[in-house]
Amino acid sequence: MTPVEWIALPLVAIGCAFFAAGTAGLLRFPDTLSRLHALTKADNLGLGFICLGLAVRDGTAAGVTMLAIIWLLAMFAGTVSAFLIARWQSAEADREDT
Amino acid sequence: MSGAIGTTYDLLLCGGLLWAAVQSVAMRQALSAVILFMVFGLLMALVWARLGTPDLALAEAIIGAGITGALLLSACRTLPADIAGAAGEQHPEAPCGLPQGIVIAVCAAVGLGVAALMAATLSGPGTSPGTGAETARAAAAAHELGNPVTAVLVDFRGFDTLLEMVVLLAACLAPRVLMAQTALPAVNPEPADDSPMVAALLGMATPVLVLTALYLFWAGAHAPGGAFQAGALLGALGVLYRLTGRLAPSEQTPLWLRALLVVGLAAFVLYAMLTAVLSAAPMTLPRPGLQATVLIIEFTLMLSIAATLTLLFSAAPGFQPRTGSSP
Repeated sequence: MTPVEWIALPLVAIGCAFFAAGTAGLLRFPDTLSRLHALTKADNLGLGFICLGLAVRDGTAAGVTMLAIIWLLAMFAGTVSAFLIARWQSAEADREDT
Repeated sequence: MSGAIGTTYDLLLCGGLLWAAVQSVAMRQALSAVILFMVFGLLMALVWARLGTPDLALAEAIIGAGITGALLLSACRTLPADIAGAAGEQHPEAPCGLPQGIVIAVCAAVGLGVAALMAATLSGPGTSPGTGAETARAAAAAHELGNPVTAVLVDFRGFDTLLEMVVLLAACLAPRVLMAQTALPAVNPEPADDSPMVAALLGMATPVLVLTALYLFWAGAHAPGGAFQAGALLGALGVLYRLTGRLAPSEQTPLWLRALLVVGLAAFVLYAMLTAVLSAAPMTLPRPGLQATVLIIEFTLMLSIAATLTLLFSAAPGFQPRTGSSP
């Protein structure tokens, strides 16, 4: 393995660890909001570290830009869907209270 | 991907695909079944990508998982709670009347038969594994357009594209007839969603999706992509606008929408008739000005596909912009 790959590999491994933790949280946490909390960590940090590792390994300007765009788009979509699910959840909780 | 890792990945993918397929059929709750169906679509797209056909992967991800999934989810909301929601004890019977054993036996027999056929094709006398791919590659090499899939689709299988467009139009007309003749509940009677988060997402997603669609359309001539993928992506954008209430359903079909629905098919039919008159067979490409002709037809196809998919999702005779913004 080249030195660049020795830097890239741990970054990707950290990203995978975040995904594993996020998945465990999604399956094990008791309510919607804490599940969302676990899930967004996997999306943001996990994908971020994987993209970072791949960008280090790729090294070309085009590849790095595309990986950055992929990460930003996933964060954007993840943020809004998490917000929508959370809003639905709080509306549902209000309905149950009344 | 190298040797063992690649094989492991493929096996995981195959296993996941089968698991998602079985689970989405076996699930009692409609909502879980729909979500598993979407997972199945995404895994299927990955499989297509692994097989080296990004065109099919894109189409499967957008239409199979995306638009179909969104449609099914919308339908789930209007189902009675006992089917869509938690407990499914009231439906212990399998939905079809056949005993499960017969169904499983028939499915296994068909699957094994197809597998045997494919194995015979791959290893049979006179053919080699890459024959189909080599033919396509030879065709592409002899062609002005670089991409084998596009070359095959436009050049050799013009009828295929033509029939696809007819099927899409028919698929759009069928719910129209149902809506006119029956009193179906409106599937998604949503008010405009004015959350700032949604507006920000749309503000970001619109240019990105339009740009990607135009790129796919343009790249279709020499790289994976093409009118169908581009149109499906624009259709997904239309679904997004429809879901967030930016596009409101209307009782009438506006003239521009009617025109959009048929323009692709009309251009294609016109082109087929012209080529039938001007050259020996219909759908042959005239040599000079080849790129321009194909691009114009593909562009109209893209617009028609986008309009058809959005209208199909709307479950209404038409749609119109609610706040003056256009799709």
